[in-house]
Amino acid sequence: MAENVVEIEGLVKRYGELTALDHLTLEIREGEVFGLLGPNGSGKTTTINCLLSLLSYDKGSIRIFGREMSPTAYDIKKDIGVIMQNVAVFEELTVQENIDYFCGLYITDKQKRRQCVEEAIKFVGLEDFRKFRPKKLSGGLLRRLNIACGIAHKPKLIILDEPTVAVDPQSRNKILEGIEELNRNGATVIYTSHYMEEVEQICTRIAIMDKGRKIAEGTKEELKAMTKNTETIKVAVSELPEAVLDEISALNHVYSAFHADGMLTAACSGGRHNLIRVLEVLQKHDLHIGQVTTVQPTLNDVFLEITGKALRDKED
Amino acid sequence: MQVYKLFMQILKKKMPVAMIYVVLFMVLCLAFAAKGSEETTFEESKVSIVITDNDNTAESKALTEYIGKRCRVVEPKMPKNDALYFNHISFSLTINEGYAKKLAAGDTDDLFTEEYVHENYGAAYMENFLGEYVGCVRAAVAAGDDMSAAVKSAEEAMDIDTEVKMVSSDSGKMNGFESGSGFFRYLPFILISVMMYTLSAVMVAINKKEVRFRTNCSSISPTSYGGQLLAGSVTFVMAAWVLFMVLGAFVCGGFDGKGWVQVLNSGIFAVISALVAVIVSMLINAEQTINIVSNVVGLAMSFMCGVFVPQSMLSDGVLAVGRFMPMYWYTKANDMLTGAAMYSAGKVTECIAVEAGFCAALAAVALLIFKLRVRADN
Repeated sequence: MAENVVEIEGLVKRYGELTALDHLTLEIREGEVFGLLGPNGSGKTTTINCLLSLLSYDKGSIRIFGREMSPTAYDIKKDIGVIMQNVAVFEELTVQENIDYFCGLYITDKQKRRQCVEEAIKFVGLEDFRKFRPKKLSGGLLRRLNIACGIAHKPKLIILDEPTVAVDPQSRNKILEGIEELNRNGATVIYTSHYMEEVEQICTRIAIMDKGRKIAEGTKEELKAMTKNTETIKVAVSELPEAVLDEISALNHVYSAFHADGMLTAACSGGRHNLIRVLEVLQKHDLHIGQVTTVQPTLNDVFLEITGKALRDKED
Repeated sequence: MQVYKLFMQILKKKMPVAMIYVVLFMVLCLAFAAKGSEETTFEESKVSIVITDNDNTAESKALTEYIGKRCRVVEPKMPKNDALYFNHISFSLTINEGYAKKLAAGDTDDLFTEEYVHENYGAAYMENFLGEYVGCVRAAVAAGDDMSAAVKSAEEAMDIDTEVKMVSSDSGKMNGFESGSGFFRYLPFILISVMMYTLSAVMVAINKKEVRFRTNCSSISPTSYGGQLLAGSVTFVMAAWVLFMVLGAFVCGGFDGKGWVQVLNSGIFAVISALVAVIVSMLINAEQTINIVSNVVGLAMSFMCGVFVPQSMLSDGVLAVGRFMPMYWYTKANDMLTGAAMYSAGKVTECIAVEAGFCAALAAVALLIFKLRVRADN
């Protein structure tokens, strides 16, 4: 069993009357890509800030690499890389100078630093832009520079706080591929996001947060197993008599069915051959069938089922 | 020394704007200095004159020669009356026949025939000049000198010039632009502006929330980080001040005793400017705001503290407000040191002490804001 890189126990952080973190307990193992998933305001960033000792907390403990984390734990900090949502670079410096500066905060040896900077530039694919100032870079390239500044010193633990917010799909994929590669190279990754697809794509284990509490934790399969819904069947049927809908609703494992806008939607829990059974009912009544799709449950369904609300904000 | 290096790298990028101020300042100072040197050198204006010598004796020739030294003797290209009318000449002098004989006999009537335009300053000067010359020769002859000796002694007597000293119309005080005093007069405005456009700009860039966050996550200690920033700031302020003093020495032609006190005065004000710049950088987030703040702080202080308008011309109300600003005390000390105000060593020391007090107060304010910001981050 892999060692725990991060151990958070009973963490409480209050801002006056508001409890931002409510007895949060997390364990992150070496070599994991650990996802912190939750809507805006769920406490993800507060958790990260407490983890990095940028915020003091009211109760609980944080251990990183088996040692107590504190603002002066520089020996721990030197093995942590941070990539935040907002691009944190100097407009006045070139790509290379920026990476060199942030790398230099961890590595004092010039020779070693030069090598690290070079590798970081290659890793994010900014070889042709090393003399460019950030203003001259596109949004995607800027994000890559932001990542390079955070990982140039080869940290063992990389914390990414919503690094793909407002990034185009192509750059987003590049960033996600990069994170997977960093993980393959041996880094443990903590990835916070409110984009469930991203978390599903790259995270080996996920904790879902809401109102400062961890409401579920496990692999994506384990989380999905927590939901009643195992698949949602959608069949395009222009007209569906009430009696047929009742018959479908009465099928084993179908716990909800409705017809709207020429589409039959049947939510199923457990059981096999649900799709065949639904189609058999429709054929029996000689109804014209159009497109047929089945949808597997998402983490949003998990969140919806646990909290009764959608994971994503409306604008997302 | 990564943070120190960063400070210098960003400073390098911010220098061009500050250099514009320095160059403009130097050009203006040199222009003022040149203007000042012109004003302090008195040169007697020369009257344009036409001389016709009808006596043609050694004495008349001696007079013609002597007038040539004091006036501009011209050969008009037009009739004398026309030259007078068009103001090409101010005076037409004809030395009448018998000039030498009459003068030797002590007779001063009808020695000359003079033509001039009435109420002409040059003509009045020439009449006065000729009267004085003739008077001197006659006196020497009366004392027993022969004519050649009398002419010589008259010339010697008239060669004694009155010493002329330039004074301003402002109750007899020395002119503010004299020599290099303009340099130290305007220096506080430039120091404030330069510090804002460089030090404030660098600090705003370094203290940007996102990069500060990333730096706080790193393994560099706040002590080392702050120490390196302080070292960078001190290096820059020292370098800027030394550069200004070298330029000042060039403009002023070196420093004398009071000059060195001016240097000390400006040194303390350089520290004040740096502290003001640091405080401003802590209070604003956007670099674009620096331009506005720099103009407001720099110009307002300069106007209210007597940098652009002498303190003696400012109203009591304005001066009362100005007393709460360090630039007022700098200017007050500087005025005493340049002679624009009554000098008192004690009062100069008092002004410099008040400036030092401002230094301490501003440093305390900077520390307080820094602590409040750290607390707000948490």
